[in-house]
Amino acid sequence: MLKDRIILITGKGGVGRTVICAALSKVLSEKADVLLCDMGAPEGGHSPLARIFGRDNFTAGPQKIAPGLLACHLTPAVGHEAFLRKSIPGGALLGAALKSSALQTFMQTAPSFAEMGWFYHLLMLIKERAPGSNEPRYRHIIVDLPATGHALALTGLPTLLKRMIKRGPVASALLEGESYLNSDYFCHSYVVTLPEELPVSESLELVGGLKATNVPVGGIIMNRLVESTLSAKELAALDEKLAKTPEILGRYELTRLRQSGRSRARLTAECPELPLIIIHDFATDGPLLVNDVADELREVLL
Amino acid sequence: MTAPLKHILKQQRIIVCCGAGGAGKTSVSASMALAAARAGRRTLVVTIDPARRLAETLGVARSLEEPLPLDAARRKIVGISGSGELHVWLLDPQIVSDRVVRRLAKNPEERERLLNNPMYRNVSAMVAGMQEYTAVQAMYEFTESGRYDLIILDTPPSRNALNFLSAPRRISRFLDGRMLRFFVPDEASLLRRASLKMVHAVLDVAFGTEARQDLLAFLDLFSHILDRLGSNAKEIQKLFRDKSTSFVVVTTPAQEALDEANYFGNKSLSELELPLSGYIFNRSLLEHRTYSWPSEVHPPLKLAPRAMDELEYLAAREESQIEWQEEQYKKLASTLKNGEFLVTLPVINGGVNDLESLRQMAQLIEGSAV
Repeated sequence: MLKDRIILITGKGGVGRTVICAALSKVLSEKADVLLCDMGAPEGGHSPLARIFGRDNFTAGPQKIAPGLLACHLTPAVGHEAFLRKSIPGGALLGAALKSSALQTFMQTAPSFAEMGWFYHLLMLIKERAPGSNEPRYRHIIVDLPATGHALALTGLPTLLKRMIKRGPVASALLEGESYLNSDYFCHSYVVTLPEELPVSESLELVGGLKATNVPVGGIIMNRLVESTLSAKELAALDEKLAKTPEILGRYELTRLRQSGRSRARLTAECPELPLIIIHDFATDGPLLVNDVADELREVLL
Repeated sequence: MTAPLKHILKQQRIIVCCGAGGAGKTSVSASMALAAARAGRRTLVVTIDPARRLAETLGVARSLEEPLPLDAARRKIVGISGSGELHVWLLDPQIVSDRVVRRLAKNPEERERLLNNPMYRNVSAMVAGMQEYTAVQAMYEFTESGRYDLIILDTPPSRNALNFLSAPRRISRFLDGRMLRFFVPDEASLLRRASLKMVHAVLDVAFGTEARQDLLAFLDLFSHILDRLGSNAKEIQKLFRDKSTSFVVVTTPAQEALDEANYFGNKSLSELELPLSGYIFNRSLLEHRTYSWPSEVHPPLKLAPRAMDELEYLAAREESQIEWQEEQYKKLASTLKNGEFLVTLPVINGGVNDLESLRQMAQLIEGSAV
């Protein structure tokens, strides 16, 4: 993760992806410039990620939100405009295109155009250089990819569209994006999951989906793991003893604890090649939770 | 006045389940459907993206043209008998879309041209909102068919799902055929042709002529289909606002899920004039309030000190979770209006992913006090 230029964080709803993104950006920005991107809240809503940093939404252009940390909101419109400026030869056509409400409407409406806009916006940020240097402007770009479907729509875009679009600037932009997003030198995606049976099954499917779109998977982040001072065997024996006393406090937590261990073992068994990053369960909430998770990430990463 | 959950399962024709991702919507939908089937109703549950394990449990596969009834062995295990039926359908947007195209194409030629268009072949991957759109279409068709007494729709987790139910055209401008017709040359007025020429020129530069032609041919054909389809939008809206339809919001005690539930319940549904019946507080630990502390049970547990220490530590964790959940429950209860129900479903050890736990959930729903 320390080497990744582009870090895509994904995972089903409810697994704590937002907190992980916030904590990760905090840790990485202690060493180098980090850009944190979200893909935004539903119309009129606020972004849960921006909320952690005390604002309703991030801006479309990168804005400093903490030392070493910038944030921005990926939007199709920014990508579309940048794309037009880049690909249409200057002069009358470009002027007309930028002014045309018909073209705007078309790009907001036609299928896959939103994803293409997001994609291009991200590509611009990846290619941005530090002032007066040839170095990339951001050491790390962290993208909070919202839901599973969205994540795959974005990562799968090049593969999907290449079949239909063979040449022209869109095809080149897709190829260029692919050269970053599908290269394990530049980019890794990480799947956030919980140590429970269903989330683990879903994460395994998501890992498969990401691999199918040729985006390198850098690891799985298992969030909210509970561990015990007792061995798995001792826990099983304890569980057995409690079977006759079902209405006892601590039994449910014990089941969770055992399940946690089993889920972790299953992930390791089914994805032996993928690093598993463990984040423990904290009793905190809000900014305190982000700090706790960041502390643990720092220990794992540094 | 809203009826309690167990009554709506016996009376309603449509129940729409909404809520945040990970709240257990699919398990709750399946359990509600099962409870209705056990009560003798012919029930269909339409689900979008169930965990593989649950799908296997129910014996359904992806990409089936028609809903599958639960087989005899499974019926027996979950306790469905007599006239009761439980059909499960995993929605595949492409299949629904193909079906619509076949039904609504003006002639075989139009049908084939569209089905073979490279853009159309990827329409469900390319068009945001296609899942929601096709879910509602499928539900409308099933309702019309009269094959079911009750249809339960497990919506995708997005908030968009709801806007869509209220006004199918608003969710995705693409799905409004009229919007796209604008870009098809034959239909444009003289005035529009100039700006259209420019749009085409830009698309030619960006995509190359061939892909541009595919795109426009697709838009032309598909927009006509969408228009014909749009004619039933009013009826769908009527259906959703009907007295025989209920919306149920599923949440867990987790903060994010509760925020979503609040949004759905207090903002979205009422703004959209959709009938909210109540909330399901899923994976609740509230029942454990009466449980005993490990060192105080009778007869006393004979545990090694190490094991007792660990168990007491776990008990303390559980207790603090229960307290937190109680608070959240009270907060949610205080927002209820017009007789909306708030039903708690306890956490099921190991999750709801086999027939046994599904039946257990259904029984809890049948016995729900509210």
